[in-house]
Amino acid sequence: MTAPGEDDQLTIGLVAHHVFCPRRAWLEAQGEKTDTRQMAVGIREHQASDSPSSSRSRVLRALDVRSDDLGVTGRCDTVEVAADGALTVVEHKATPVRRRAEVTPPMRVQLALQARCLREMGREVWGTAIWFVSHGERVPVDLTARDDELAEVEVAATRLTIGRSDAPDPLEDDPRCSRCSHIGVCLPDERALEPVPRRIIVADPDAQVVHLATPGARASTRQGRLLVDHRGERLASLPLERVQGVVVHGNVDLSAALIRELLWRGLVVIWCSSRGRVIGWAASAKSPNGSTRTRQHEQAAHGRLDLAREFITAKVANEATFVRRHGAAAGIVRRLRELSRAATQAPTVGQVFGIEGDAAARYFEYWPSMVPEAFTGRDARAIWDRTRRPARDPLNAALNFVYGMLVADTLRAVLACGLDPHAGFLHSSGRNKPALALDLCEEFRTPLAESTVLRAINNGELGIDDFSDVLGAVALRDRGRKALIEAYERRVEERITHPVFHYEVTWRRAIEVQARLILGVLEGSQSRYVGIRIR
Amino acid sequence: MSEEARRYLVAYDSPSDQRRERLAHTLERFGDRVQYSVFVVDVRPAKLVRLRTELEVLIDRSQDSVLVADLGVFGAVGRRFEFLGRRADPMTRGPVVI
Repeated sequence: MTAPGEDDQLTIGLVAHHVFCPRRAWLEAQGEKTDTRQMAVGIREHQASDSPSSSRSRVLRALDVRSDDLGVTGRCDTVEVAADGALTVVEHKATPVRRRAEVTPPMRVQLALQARCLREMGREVWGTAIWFVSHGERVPVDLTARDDELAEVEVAATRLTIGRSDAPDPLEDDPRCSRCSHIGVCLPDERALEPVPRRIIVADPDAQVVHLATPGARASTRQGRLLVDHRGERLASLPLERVQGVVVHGNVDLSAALIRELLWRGLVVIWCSSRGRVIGWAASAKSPNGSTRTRQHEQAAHGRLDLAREFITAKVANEATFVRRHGAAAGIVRRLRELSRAATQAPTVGQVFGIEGDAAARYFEYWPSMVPEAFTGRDARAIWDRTRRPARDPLNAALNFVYGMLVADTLRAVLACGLDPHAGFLHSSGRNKPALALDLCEEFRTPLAESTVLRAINNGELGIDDFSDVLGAVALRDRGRKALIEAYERRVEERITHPVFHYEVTWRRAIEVQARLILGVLEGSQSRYVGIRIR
Repeated sequence: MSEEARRYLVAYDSPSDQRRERLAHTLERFGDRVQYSVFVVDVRPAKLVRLRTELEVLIDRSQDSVLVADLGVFGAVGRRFEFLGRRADPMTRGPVVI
C-alpha cells in the first residue's frame, strides 16, 4: 500500500471527530462550520497554560506534527520535554465542569496519533495525558499497542467516509448529539420528520441582519466595527461580531474593505432595489457541501416533482388558513384547501403552477376586504389585483417590497447550506432568477411577507402618506420603507413552535431549517420534504 | 452549549497603553463601549469563549486585569441598566434598520 499523497492528508482532529461520529467528520470535511466549533479551536490556541508539569520540563506549545506513513497532520496543544529529551504529550480539553473529567475514545485516538507522529519524527514519547481545563485536572493516559491499532484503523475508516459522496447517517437517539458542535447543521432528529425531543438547538443567533436603507449613506469598517455615515453624520456604529448579514436597500454605498471583511467572516451581502427586487449578492468563496451541490444540479436538471408539489401544497394551505383567520367565507377556504390537496397529486410542474395561479387568484381576490380602501387605490376594491411591477397602488408596492426581503432571507439560508440559489425545482432555473431561493419562499410568503404587510397597515405603522404616486406608479417613501423593514424584522424574529419538530425557533431560523431539509432531501438523508404550515 | 444570548460586562485595566489599545480593539468587535475601559457584550456563551481566548492572548497575566461579569440572560436583564450622566447604550437587540 503506497503512502497517501498530499491531497489525502487528514487532520488528527478530523479522525478524532470520526470516532465521535462519522457524520460529524463528514460534515466537517464538507466545509460546514459552526460558531461552537470555535470553542474547540479557541482552547487550542490558548497560550497561557495552567497545566502543572514537572518543574524540570520545558513546555512546547502548538507543535505541528505529521505522519507521512498514515497521511495525518495535527497540532499538539502542549508537549513537555524532560531533561533527557523524553516527551509527554498533554492535550487540553474544555469538557464542561458538569460532566466528569473522563478520557473518551476520541481523546485516546487523538493522543495515539499525536504520539505516533512524534515517534515517526524520531522522538521518544514517554507518556500522554489529558488536561481538563475546566476541572483543573490532569489525567494520565496509558496508551497500548491496541490503541495504536485502533487509531490506524480509524484513520483508514475516516479516509473512506470523507471520500463518500453521500453523508453517513446521523446517530439515533444518542446523547452525544446534544453536545456536538454541529447539531445545528446535522439536524439528526429531523430525519424522521417527527417531534424532536428537547435538544439544545440554537433558537436564534446572537447577531442581527443589518438593513442599510438611508439613500446616500455610506457603510465602511474600522477597528472591527461596521460604520454608517450620511452627509458627515455618523448614523451607526456596530460590532462586526453582532452582524449576521447585510441587506442594502437602494442607493447605499459599501466600502470595498467592508465587503471584504463581511465575506471573510462568511457573511452574505444582498443588494435590493428601492422597490424590493433582489439585484445581486456577494458571498464567501468557501461554500460547504460541494458534493450535494452537484447532486442538486443533477436533480434540478432531472426535476423533482415531489419538491415542487410540496412547496405549493404548503403555500396554498397557508393561504387558506390565513384567509380563514381573517374572516373569509367558508367557500373560499374550502376551495383553497381543495387546491392545496390537488397540488399533492399534480402530474407536472406546469400543473403545479396552474394550481398555484388558481389559488393566488382566489386568495388575492379576498385581500382588499382586509385593508383600508386607500391602500388598494381609489375605488378599486372591486377590481384590485396583484400586479407585480410597477405597483399601481400602495398594497402592491408594499407586497413587492416585503417579498424582496423574504427572498433575501431564503437566499441567505440557501447559500449557508452551500446550495446553488439558481438551481430550483419549482421555478425554472432557465429564467435567470434565483430559482431555489424563490422556491423556498413559497411556504413563507403568507406567514411572513403578507402577514407583515397586513399587520403594518392595520396597526398604523404603515400609512398612505408613506407612499408616493408618480404618474400611476406607486412607491414607498424612505420612512415607509424603514417602517416596513422594521415590521418584517420583528415578524421574522418572532418565535414559533416548528410544526413538524416541535421545538422553538424564530421564523428566520425556521427558514434555515427548511433549507437544510431541502439539503437533506437532495443528499438522500431525508426521505421527503415537509413544508411549514401555519395553524 | 448553544444557549440564549447573555449580557456580559467586560472591564479591563492595564499599565500598558499598547495592551489597553489592543484590548479595546478586540472588544470593539464584539460589543459596545459604555465607559473608558468598560464594555457590554451581548452574545451567546460560545461566542464569549472565543472573545475570552482572544483577550487572554493579549494580556500580561502578571500586570493586567480583565473582569468578565455574567449579568444573565439578555431578556431578563436588558432593562436593569441605569446611566447617571452621559448615556452610552449598547447595540439594540431589535431590528437594525439604518
